[in-house]
Amino acid sequence: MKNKIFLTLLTIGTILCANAQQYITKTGTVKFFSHTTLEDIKAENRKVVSVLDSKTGVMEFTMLMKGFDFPNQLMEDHFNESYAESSKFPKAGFKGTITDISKVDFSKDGTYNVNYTGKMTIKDVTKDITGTATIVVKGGTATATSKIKVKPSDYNFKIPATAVGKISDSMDVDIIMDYKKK
Amino acid sequence: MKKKIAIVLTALIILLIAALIYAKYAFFTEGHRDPLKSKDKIYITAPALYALYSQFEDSANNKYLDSVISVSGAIQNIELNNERYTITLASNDSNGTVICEMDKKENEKIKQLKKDQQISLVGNCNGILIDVQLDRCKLAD
Repeated sequence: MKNKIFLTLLTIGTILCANAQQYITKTGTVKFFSHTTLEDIKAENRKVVSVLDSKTGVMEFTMLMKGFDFPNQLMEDHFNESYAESSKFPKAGFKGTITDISKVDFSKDGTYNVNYTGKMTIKDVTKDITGTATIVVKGGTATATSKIKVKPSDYNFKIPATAVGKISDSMDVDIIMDYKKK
Repeated sequence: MKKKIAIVLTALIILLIAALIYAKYAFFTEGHRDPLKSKDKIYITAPALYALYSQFEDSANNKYLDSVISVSGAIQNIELNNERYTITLASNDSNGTVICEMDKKENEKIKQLKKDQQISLVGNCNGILIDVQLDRCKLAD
C-alpha cells in the first residue's frame, strides 16, 4: 500500500515537474506576406496553438488553415479552395527543437537569440527547416519570434496560370508565439 | 433597325453593369461575407459542437468546415487582444471549449456582455485544435 502511495506521489511529482517547464499559447500568430509587382497578398492566423519545453527545447505548433484571415474575401476563398485546399488539409504545423535552449534563462528577463531545427508540415508535404529565433523573457512570459521564407511550390500549392505573377515564389512568414508558463 | 440598336444597347448596358459588379467584388471589396446573411446556417449548441469535434473530427469537419454556424452557449471568457474580442463558449468537457474570434464591428455590443451569460453567435467554423475555432463571428439578434 505504502509503495502504491509512493508511486502515485512520484507520478504526480513527475507530471508537476514536467508541467513546470512547459510554456504554452493558444494565441500564437503566423503571418505571411507575398509581394510581386502585380499584387501584395497578406494573411494572418491569430489562433496558433504551441507548446515549448523550456528544458529540452522541444517545440511544436499547429494551426488551422481556415483560420488565416485575409483582408479580402476573394483572396481568402482562392487560398482555401485552390491553393491550400483547406478542407482536405485542415491543419499545418511544425515540430522541432531549439538546439541551444540552455542559453535561455526563463527565470530572468532578457532577450535571447536561439537556433532551431525541425519539420514543417503543410498540406501533405513535410520538409526540414532550420532557422533562428528570438526569445524575449519578461515577467514569467516568453515571446518567441522567427522569420522564415516558404516556397509555395515546395508544399504543393498549385498556382493556376491566371494567378502566376501575382503570387511570389517565396513568401515571408512571421512566427510569433506569446508563451505563458503552464 | 431601331429595335436592333435598342437590343444591342441593352445588352451592352447589362454587360457593363455585370463587369462593374464583378470589379467591385474582385478588386475593391475589403470586407467579407456577412455570416448573419447566410441562408444555410447550421444551428448547434457549443457543448454539442465541441463533443462532436472531440470525438469525430473528420465527420465534424465534413459537416461544419465550409459552413456558417450559429452556436449558442454560456460565456466562459471574454478577451480583448489588439482591439479584437475573442469570446469563449463553455462546453461540457474540461478539455476544450468553443473559441469565437469576433468581427471588430461587434466591439460595442460585446462590452455589454458578461461571463456566464447565454448568447448565440454566428460565424465560420475553422476546425479544432484544442478548442473548436470559429472566426468572423457576429452576435445573433
